[in-house]
Amino acid sequence: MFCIGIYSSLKKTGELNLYSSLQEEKLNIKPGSNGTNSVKLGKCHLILAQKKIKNKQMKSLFNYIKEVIYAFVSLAKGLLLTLRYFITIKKVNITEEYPNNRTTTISVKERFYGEVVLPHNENNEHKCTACTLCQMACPNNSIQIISKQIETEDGKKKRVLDKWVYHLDSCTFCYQCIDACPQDAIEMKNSFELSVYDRTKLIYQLNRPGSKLKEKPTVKEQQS
Amino acid sequence: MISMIEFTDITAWIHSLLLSVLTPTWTYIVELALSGVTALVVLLVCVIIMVYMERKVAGFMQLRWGPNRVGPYGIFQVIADVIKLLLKESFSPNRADKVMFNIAPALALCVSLMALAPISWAPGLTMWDTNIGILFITAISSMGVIGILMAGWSSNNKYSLIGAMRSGAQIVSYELSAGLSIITAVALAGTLSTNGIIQSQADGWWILKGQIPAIIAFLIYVIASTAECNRAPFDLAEAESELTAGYHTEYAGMQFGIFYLNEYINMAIVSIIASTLFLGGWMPFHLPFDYPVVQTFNHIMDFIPTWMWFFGKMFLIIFFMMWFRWTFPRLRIDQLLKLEWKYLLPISIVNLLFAAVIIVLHWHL
Ligand code: SF4
Ligand code: SF4
Repeated sequence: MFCIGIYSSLKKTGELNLYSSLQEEKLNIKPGSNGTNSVKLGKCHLILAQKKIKNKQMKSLFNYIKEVIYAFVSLAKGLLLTLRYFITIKKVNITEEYPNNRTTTISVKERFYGEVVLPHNENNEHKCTACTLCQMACPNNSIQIISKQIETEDGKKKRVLDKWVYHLDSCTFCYQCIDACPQDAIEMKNSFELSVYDRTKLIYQLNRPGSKLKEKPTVKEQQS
Repeated sequence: MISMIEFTDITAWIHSLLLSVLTPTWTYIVELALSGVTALVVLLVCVIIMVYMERKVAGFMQLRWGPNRVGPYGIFQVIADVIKLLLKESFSPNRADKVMFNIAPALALCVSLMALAPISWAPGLTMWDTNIGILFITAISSMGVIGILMAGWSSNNKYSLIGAMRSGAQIVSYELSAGLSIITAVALAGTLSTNGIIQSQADGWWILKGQIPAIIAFLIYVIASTAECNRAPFDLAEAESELTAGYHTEYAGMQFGIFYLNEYINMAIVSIIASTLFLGGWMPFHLPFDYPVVQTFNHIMDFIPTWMWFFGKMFLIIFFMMWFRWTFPRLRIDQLLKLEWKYLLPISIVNLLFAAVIIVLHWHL
């Protein structure tokens, strides 16, 4: 069975064909002016080829053994990895035992897309200029920007944000609004406990009452 | 001392107790029933531990906790599952071969339980102490495929049939290299009786004394027996991603439960045989040297009771099989047959020759 295995592997790689083709070559040798030499040359070739085939047989046996050893080595690698996990499970475990640890050890990755928020600073100021680009970017119509006209101290008329309405019930957390915002006014938060019993409660107004646009520093202020 | 009470004392006591109240014939019958029931109960307890162990091992190896809801650390999970399976309806599909369909799980279970008979559990504790124990086991273990083929055929479902056929091809192939590695151990021990094989390892297990051929034979036996039990990475008969559940697709309730139980009983039997052949069964760990230090060591090892050695080795090999299952991906059917016919079988034949040379030249310890 062992020999058959080697034979078939030899046949597959086409190394046996080499032998027969060389024999054919030998028949085709024509005696020319230095005919004897060429016949000798042919014999020489044949002996060399036979040696080569023996080498190749050895090589394929060697490859077979190498394959078996390599297989065991690579299997052992996998086994050691899982054994390491098995032994150090306390350290490497990635399961969150969620309802039990929701107030203690739970960790949600920063990059998790939970809900859209409009951050306010300590003076109750946000950065939204009510340009409605986010509203246009949203594929689900989850954003409604309601703006109003106000009159500034120096008598100019200006459009400012009145209500930033966010329909969480139809948001797919696609991040397109945040990409679209030229002011970087909105962000994704990693909160995830968002379910409520009544879907009308999923409509939020993101700007806080009484909040206003954060004034950009003028060029003079920036220089000072 | 409690550890001085041997199992033979207990059996002798039961025997005399029964003789005092019953006629010898009835004593014999009652003893037969009693030994069968005891073996079954021990095995079922082992299976419950194994199912729980499998889930925990699987969980830990996949960076999870495993069952942890039913009872402390989830230890009652198996019981909850059994209750669930018992409460479910067992029905057979419309155009199935009803008789065969209902017999198949029971037959598969019977065949695997038959292999229990010649197993040596402890010194002097064998149900059927015969001189051809290992031969009997090899004969029985290749019959395990009958139940699977019947289940697959009678289900009238192409997935079941493909699963059963694969299982047939697999068991027939892997039987060979498993048999050859068993022969290696038998040749080393020079006997076919399970008790005899264990006794021959009194001064060291074959895996140590038999040198390289014994180690290779042990590895091949573990691989081949994993395949014979239809366990991953050789679970082509089930192959849930290709064949839903293979040969037991159509089974529900406790009939499915019996197939599930059967898988674990097979695993237990296979690991008991592997430990009997290569790791000395219930024999404590002894070193085959004659120095005083070694003799003290051997003597200390004798203090650990034999049942601990027996179950310790059994669960060690079971752990190996679970470890394989949760590490390796499943093979394709052609890769599976290639592995057997192009690698395992040639290697085990050469290994057997190698072992024969070592035995003839008395190179083994
Ligand atoms: S995340 Fe996507 S779906 Fe949600 S509000 Fe922004 S743009 Fe709309
Ligand atoms: S959040 Fe950004 S994009 Fe949307 S209206 Fe405000 S400034 Fe414009």
